[in-house]
Amino acid sequence: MRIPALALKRKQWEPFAFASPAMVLIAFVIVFPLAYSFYLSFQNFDLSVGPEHEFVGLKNYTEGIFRDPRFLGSVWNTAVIIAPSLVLELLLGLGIAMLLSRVLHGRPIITALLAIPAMVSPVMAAMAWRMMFGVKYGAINNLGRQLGILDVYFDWFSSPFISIVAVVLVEVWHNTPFMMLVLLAGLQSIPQELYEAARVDGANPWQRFWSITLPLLKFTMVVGVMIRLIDLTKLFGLIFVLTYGGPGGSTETVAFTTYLAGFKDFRMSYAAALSYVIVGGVLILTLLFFWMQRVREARAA
Amino acid sequence: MKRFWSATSVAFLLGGLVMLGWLALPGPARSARPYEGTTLRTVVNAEFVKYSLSLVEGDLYDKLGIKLEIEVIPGDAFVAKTLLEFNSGQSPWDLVMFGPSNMPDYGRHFEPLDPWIQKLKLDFGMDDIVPVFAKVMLRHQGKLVSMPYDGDIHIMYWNKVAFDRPENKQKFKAKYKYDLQPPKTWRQWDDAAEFFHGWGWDGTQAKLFGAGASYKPSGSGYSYHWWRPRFFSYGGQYFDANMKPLINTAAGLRALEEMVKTMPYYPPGVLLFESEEPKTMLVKGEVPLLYSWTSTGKRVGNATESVIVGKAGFGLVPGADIDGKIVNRPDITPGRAFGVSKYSKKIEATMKALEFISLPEQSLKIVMDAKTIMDPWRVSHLKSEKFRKLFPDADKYLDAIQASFPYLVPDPVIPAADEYQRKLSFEITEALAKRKSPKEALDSAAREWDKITERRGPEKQKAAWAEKSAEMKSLGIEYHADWAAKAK
Repeated sequence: MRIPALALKRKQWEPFAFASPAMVLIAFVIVFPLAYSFYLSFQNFDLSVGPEHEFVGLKNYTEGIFRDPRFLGSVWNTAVIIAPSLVLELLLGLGIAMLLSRVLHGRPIITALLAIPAMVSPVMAAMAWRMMFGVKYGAINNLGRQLGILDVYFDWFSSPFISIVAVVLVEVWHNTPFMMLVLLAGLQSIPQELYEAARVDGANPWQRFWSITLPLLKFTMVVGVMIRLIDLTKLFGLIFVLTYGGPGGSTETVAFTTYLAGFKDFRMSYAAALSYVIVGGVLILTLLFFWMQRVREARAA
Repeated sequence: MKRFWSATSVAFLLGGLVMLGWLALPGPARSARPYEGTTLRTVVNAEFVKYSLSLVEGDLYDKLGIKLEIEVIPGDAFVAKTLLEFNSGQSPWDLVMFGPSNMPDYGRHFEPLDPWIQKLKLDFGMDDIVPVFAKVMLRHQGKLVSMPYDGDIHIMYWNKVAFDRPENKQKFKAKYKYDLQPPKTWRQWDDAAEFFHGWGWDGTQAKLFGAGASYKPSGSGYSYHWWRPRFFSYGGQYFDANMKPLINTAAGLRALEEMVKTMPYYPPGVLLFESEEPKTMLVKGEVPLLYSWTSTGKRVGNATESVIVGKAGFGLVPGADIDGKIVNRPDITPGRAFGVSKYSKKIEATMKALEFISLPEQSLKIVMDAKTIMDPWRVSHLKSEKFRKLFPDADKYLDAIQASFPYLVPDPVIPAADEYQRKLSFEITEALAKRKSPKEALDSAAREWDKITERRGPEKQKAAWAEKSAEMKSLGIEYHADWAAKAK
């Protein structure tokens, strides 16, 4: 005969026992590095000097936020890359998703084909685009010459502005399929009865889009934009291969500058502090975004 | 049956005796391979370096019985990953490639060579090493800790078609009022770059370019290597005796202003060019002028890719005319060397392997091969008849390298050398991309240099610099505040 109290206790610990291997693994690969890097961010650990380090308080944070023009410049560069990328990815993703939602035959195949760019690793994509942007032998300049709009010697990385345009183009090519997939899923979850009822009421396509599609797709769009925003703040591989932050520092993103601080200058503590500044920034942006959404919804209600 | 067993027993006995004898006697193969079964872990920073070692690996095994297990860590992550291991007090590698300008950061992790030279009677052929490399590349705190592997310096290359065409000579003289010739000064270089840019100077209708360069701010900074020879020939120096940066003085400013001004005469894409792009443009006949690594010469002479075989000139990187005398200051840029990890469990075998790889005949194989991008560093490399006949005008190419040696300027070989260079290189590209004025860029670089010095400990840096600046002084390199104004 089993004692009920003991059985209850077993019920309590059993799930934890089963989950414990995964939890230990998570603690090792996620919690420990996070906690250790947070601890490091208050030290002055400089790998090029040696393993010794000491507590320096908020020095690394204040340097990053107030006294490092290169990091502050990279915040601006990241914003300049993120803004057009997000807008273009959202608009193109929405457009393609709406077109796809109307396709009756072969939609899965067309969707899979359109999603191919998102399946390519950022580094491979950057390498391919770097060759395509090439002067004289690059595919884009040669196509441009055939169309009579570009010289084969057009340099896609000749100036900060053109370099940012090139980075945004590759970023949009690479990630619009992701936005398309998210929005396509959202579109397909909208009940068709709503459109039929609107049609019966005489609503034109624009009115149906504005009054049904957009409001019901809003949450999916917010989720898609948030995921991409977080992704874009981590933009590294593409920059590393395509421009190495150049020309000058015009395409240095926050992730790239943090990499330079940590793995080129060996300032591990400073790099850890910069990482937490980035995380803090993204967190603030995300909360702000969600708060604005709530305020709007409350007003609409 | 009895006979069978007897015969079998005798056969086994004889066989056993023969086997015993073979094992007891020092066979020729075994004595020739004293380290048979030893595998050394080696780390290098590029696939072409791994390839270069493959040229001697066979002989290394035949002679010593040593095999190499070569790990390639790409250049951009190389210093970080290797120092990460070393600074944690260990190393998975026995034989370690490194950039000699990072000697202050690597040197303490290397086993000094001298005690092993005595113990194992090693012969590194020290007298055969080009003196300037022996002086500035191999020692840490006075102790010999490495051997050169790649004698990187810059020399100038030009396409003779551009400079010898009578039409070009006439046009140039009419415009610049002096004769067209391979440039000896920076002014002549800039004039030639301007003159040749944008038209078919080879007599074709092609759109060709004025000169080549590499301005990408990656690695230790390409643009820094292109700014440095101008800066030093205008009297510049890295620091004063108190570690105050001198890079933003008149010499640095003049050098950068000239680079910014002449940007339009360089090929599109130059801001992100690494080492090989301008070399390719030179050997394809698209730029008439380039100063670059000495490995370029082997590409120039490689008929499978070069259209200027036998039509190329080789010479000193231009300088500045100071009081009627040309002051040349080509770069050491920065080369490669090998050291033996002091954490290795196989130091003796690694020392033997390093000696073998560095032997004149073995290293010659490496520096002669165009695919290795390794450059000569022994006097015997430069005098080798085989090398001097490798391609048309190879002798002139090797003579140009030799002629550059007395004027070479090393990197600031003090702790954090790599970081000083990268910060400066970044700011130079900021100016080249017109995001900052040359003055703003160099002032910003000087501030960054101050921060590095502060972080690394001003007194420690000052002491290291005192040693290095004395070394540079012995090479004839000193700060001259007035040269920038009077240089022609």
